[in-house]
Amino acid sequence: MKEKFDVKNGLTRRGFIKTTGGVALAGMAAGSLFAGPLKAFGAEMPEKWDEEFDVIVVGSGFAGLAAAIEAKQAGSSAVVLEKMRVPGGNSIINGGVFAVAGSPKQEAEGIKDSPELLLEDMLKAGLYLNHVELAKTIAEKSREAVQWTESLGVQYKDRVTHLGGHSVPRSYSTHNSSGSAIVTKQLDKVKELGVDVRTQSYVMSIIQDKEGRAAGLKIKEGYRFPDESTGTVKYLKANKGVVLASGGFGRDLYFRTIQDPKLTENVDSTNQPGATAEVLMDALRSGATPVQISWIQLGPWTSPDEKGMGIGYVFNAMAGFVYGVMVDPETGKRFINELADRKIRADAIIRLGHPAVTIADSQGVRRVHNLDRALEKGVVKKFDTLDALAAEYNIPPEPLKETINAWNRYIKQGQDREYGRYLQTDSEAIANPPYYACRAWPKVHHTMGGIQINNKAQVIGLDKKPIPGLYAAGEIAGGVHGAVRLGSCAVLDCIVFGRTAGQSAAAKV
Amino acid sequence: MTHKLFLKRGLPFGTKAIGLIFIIFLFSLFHTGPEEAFSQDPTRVRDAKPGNCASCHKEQVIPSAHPDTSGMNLTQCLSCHKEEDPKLTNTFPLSHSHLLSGVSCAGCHGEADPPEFVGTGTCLGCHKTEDLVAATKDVKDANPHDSHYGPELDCDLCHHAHKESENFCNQCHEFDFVVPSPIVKPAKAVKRAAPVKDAAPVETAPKKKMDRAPPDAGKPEEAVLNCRGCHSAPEYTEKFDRSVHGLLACTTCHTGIENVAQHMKKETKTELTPCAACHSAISVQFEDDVHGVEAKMTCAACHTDVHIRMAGAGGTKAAVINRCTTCHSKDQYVQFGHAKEVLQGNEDSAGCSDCHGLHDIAVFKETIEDKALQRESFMAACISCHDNQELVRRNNLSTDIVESYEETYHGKVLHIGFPERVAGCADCHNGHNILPATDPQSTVHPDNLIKDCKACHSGFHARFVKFEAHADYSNSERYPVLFWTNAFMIALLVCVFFFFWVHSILWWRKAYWKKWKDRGAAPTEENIPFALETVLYVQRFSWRDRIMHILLVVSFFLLVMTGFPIKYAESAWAEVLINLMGGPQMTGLLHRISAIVLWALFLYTCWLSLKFLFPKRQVRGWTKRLFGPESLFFNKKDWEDLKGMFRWFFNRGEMPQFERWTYWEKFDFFAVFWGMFVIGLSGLMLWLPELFSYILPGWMINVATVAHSEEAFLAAIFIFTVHFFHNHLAPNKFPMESNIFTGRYTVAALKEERPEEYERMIAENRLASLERKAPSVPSRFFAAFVGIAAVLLGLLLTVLIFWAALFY
Ligand SMILES: Cc1cc2nc3c(=O)[nH]c(=O)nc-3n(C[C@H](O)[C@H](O)[C@H](O)COP(=O)(O)OP(=O)(O)OC[C@H]3O[C@@H](n4cnc5c(N)ncnc54)[C@H](O)[C@@H]3O)c2cc1C
Ligand code: HEM
Ligand code: HEM
Repeated sequence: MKEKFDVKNGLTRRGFIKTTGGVALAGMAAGSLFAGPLKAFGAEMPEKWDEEFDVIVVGSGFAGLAAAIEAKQAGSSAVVLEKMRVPGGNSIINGGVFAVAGSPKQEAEGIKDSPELLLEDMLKAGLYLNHVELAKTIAEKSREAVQWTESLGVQYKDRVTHLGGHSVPRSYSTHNSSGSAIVTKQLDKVKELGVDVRTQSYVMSIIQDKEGRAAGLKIKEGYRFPDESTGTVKYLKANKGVVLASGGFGRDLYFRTIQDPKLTENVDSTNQPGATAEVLMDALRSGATPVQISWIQLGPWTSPDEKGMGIGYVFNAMAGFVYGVMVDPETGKRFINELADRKIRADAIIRLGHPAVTIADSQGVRRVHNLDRALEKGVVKKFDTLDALAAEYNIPPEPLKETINAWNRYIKQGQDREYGRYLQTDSEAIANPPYYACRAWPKVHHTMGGIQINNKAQVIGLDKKPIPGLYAAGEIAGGVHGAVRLGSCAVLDCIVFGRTAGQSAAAKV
Repeated sequence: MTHKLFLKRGLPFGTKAIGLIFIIFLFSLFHTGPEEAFSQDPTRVRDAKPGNCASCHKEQVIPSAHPDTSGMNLTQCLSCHKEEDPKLTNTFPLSHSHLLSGVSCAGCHGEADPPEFVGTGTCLGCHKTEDLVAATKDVKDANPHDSHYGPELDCDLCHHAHKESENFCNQCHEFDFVVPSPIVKPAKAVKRAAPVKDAAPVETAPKKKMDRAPPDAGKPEEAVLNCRGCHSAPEYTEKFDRSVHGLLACTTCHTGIENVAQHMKKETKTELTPCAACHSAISVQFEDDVHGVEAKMTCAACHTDVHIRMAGAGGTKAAVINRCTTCHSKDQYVQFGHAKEVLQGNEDSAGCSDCHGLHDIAVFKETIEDKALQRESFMAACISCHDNQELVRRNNLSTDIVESYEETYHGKVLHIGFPERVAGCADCHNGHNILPATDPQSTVHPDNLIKDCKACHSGFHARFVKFEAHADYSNSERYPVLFWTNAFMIALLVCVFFFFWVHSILWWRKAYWKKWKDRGAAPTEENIPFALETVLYVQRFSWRDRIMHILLVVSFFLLVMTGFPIKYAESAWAEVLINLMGGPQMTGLLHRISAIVLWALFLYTCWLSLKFLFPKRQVRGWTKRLFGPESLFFNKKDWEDLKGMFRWFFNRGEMPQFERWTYWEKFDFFAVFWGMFVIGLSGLMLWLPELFSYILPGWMINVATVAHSEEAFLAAIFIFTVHFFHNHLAPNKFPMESNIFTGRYTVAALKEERPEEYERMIAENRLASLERKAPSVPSRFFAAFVGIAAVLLGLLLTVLIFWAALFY
């Protein structure tokens, strides 16, 4: 403004001051009207805010609730906005496995592990696309994170689970095999702290002031998913910051087919219906840097014989892939390391062009807690002989038997000579009828990409600087997992960065 | 309106948040105005008495025979209905079970106006979370009240008070449980609600006859057991259970037993719930059924098997016949024809109800209107099978019996709206011995036909019955005369139109081509008529001629407009036109009056022709007169002119020099003569068929129909295209030749159009005597008006006729 109005052309000093003063005032007014906030679209600053909080959290999953707890505990007022009629997002329907490196439970089982090993596993699965700093952070904080949940009252089973892509068994499993065990404790805590979790509150847009700072949100109250026409618009002011924890976009057909056109409506998803991209898109519009958005993970363990996550995956993940084998029904042969990372497995199954069949015996299924229900629903089937099993799935019986004999030999020899799969310490030969089998066909499960954050959970803008007042954590943030998220690392990621985001927002870093 | 929140403190967070949102949601509903939210049926009345449906519902919502509910509560409902009775669980919302359990509207919504908003907090005021969790703990698949979402979900996720409930879980799961909308019996172990489809077999039975819920569809076990203590015959026990009514309790129909002891002492009289309570549509039909109206019969008179009737039982044609013939004489009804055929196992044939109906057998009175209704209803029945090509082929029946009937006078006239007067199927094929005509038992056997015809016709000769009621013009073997008449008429039509249309087109082309070539050319002496000639008028038609022509025009149009709707009875415009003209009666009358006028004109023309040929009874020289220049008869010059005209068309010569009548004018005249012969005579036959039967056999009426119809087409289209071309559209006449109306034209026109006549007039020195004043303005105006109106009407009719001929 100075330059613009620095007039030096023969005006008297008084006149200069008078004129310049007037023009400068006019210029300022015009500036605030036209130059204003940098962005030319998105929600305008409201005339009046309906409510204000120090920290507003978007999304009521692991990350959002962790952020709310931390923010409130740091003395900030907070609120959690959730567009669905129920809280919890993907977190409350999640399988409740939680990667912890070098945990007391591992020690009790005599499993050697370390944060470095976890990081290595994550980077390997992530094709080294991971933002190493972020990945390293969660690996290092895994013990702290699980302890934090335990302090909220979450209970875990005694034994750790070995999930695909991990070099050792390391994953904690909640007592009810569901993320709800964690979410409900988080919800209890939030309630205890007096933070409202407002369901049916749909976040439409981030409002930035003229410096680009996230000043608040334009939302709809009383929204009834998925009816766009419902709800009334409200403006909420965030004095310190907005935490974006709105999860992934596995159920956003539009956005996910833009990122990966193969993932049309013909591909099912394990996610909750509200896993959509509008907040992510608005963050991008607000100037956030996109990271690897087209890396979308398919879960290799889901069954095509039921909808969504279903129950058959438990058999696949806990029995078939761990104690049994997965074969191509056309050849009766294994075709992949059943414990390879999700992408390798999902891609391999899709390459077959038809669902694979996983097989385990009565020993192998001992950890499948929902076996009876899965049998009842017909997702998992039980056979007295391998011949009957082969007949059911149209597998050539001799090659199948050969595959299983070979596998049993590898167990004796202590090494999978075909695919180098990790052998469980308690693995036994597949020789104890009855036999069980389930089909496997991938479904959209996780979206690795998202917006860029730093170690303080600040959202990094396209101007390479943190966007003031904007924080993100959980599935909406990209980079942590690189190309492939390892099983049980999402809970870890959400808890670690959710808490960080809450702390950062409260501290207004 | 302020949105005040009314949540109590200390509710679980979800409840609070969701409740809040819900309240806002509901508020916004009310915000749109209470009128909108509450204006439809049912109107929500706050102080409605629980069992009094009528306080909110204008329409009848429970069967009329249902015991009075106005004093009832839920427990009383459940004493008859099963808890999972789909009639309750599916039709009546949660709000009703609350009302019936003593929770009034205000119980949830408060006394305030507008009503307060109900959130989960309100529900939890009465329902305790622990109880709910416990109540559904054994529900198959999952406990909806204690899932990974915990026990504190918003009730409204699944249960809706004023609309159908939903299964929230199943957006991700595939659980089998059904969220019960209404009926809740707290403190009782939950039985799995039966899926709707299993619970309502009556409704899914193949033919849905019941349209309302039974008064009490439940089957209270004790009540049934009690009755069966004494009424133990199989039809009340196992057979009953398997029957279509097996879901009902004895007391559903047998009401009035309040005290079993009294009942056993026969002290109480039981009453029967009317079948109409459930079968309302049928019973409404039956109110007009002949059995109900005249014989005062009840359902049970025929339905003697209500206790044992199985779903899908009966329903065959044979079963119906057997039922009907328990009263109606077998000899009379099932010995021949359709019924016999059915009983022999042919389901294609018609049983009683196929023609008469089942519960809607109409009562026909002897009035003419009822006769018409009856005729039409039977015709519809006959046609429904006999026009079904697959069916008739299968049964070796004639494939065009309906179509060929429709081609006859009866068919067409009936079609156009005369069911009162014209024979339909059942007028000849009457009674139940419907058999081929060759069978002496048949009503259409020639021996019996006279009787049939006499029903409508009288004073005819026995030959009259030789009329073919289903004539087929395309069958040259069976109906040679008809076939050839038709063929001849069509050939005539084709020739006439071919010749004259070609003639007109060539003429038109030539004249315009010439005009085009001459455009802009300076007028030569030749083509500027001598000025005086253009204002000097001569007489062409006398008053008599002009009046005759006008009468001809009017009667002809009337004939076309009243006749063609019958010819094309099925066309879209036929009925419209008939109604425009005053209905079938009126058009019939107009057609006949016009026919008389035309006949009169014809006869008068004959008389004038005779006078012309034999002036003052003088015979000598008649041939000269006949072939002379003033005559309308064809002569040699016409042949020459015709050839000359074609030469002119093709630029091989000048236009011929015409005399007073051109050959096409003569053709027009003779067309009327020929036309009168064919159309007039056949018309008379159709008008007075009985009379003609003394001279001609009945099938001549068929011939007359064809001839009349085809000739009418020829005449109408000829006049509207060819005649109108010659006098209106031809280049030298456009837009019209008015001398037929004004009587006169200019000398210039005479000279140009009929040079030889002109020469002859000059030679005979008669021109001066023909000289007239120019036509007056009114007469010109009249000519223009009538002329243009006629052309337009004619062209419109042409379009209609072609439309009908091509598309119907
Ligand atoms: C079936 C299933 C099983 C899984 N199992 C495991 C496992 O065992 N271990 C593991 O580590 N990971 C698992 N995952 C992955 C993991 O659960 C998710 O990555 C994680 O829950 C993401 O948490 P979040 O807090 O980022 O988002 P979410 O928990 O998804 O929460 C985001 C919330 O934001 C809401 N939201 C979105 N948009 C808006 C908006 N515009 N306005 C307001 N609210 C909005 C959403 O409705 C949602 O409730 C599983 C995922 C699924 C689907
Ligand atoms: C109140 C309604 C619901 C009930 C009663 C319910 C019940 C259950 C139960 C009993 C399980 C354990 C596994 C099983 O036996 O099937 C389960 C798992 C699961 N539910 Fe639900 N559910 C409900 C709603 C939902 C919704 C709406 C979603 C999706 C948004 C969902 C997603 C899941 C998922 C993904 C699992 C698997 C978790 C795991 O085992 O890893 N559920 N649910
Ligand atoms: C706190 C709110 C709720 C209240 C007050 C409530 C009330 C009830 C009551 C009284 C019953 C009858 C149980 C019995 O027979 O005694 C019932 C059954 C049922 N409810 Fe709810 N409910 C609530 C929330 C829900 C939710 C959120 C769901 C969906 C997930 C649900 C699904 C069901 C189902 C499926 C049954 C029937 C189970 C069966 O009998 O098969 N309810 N509920």
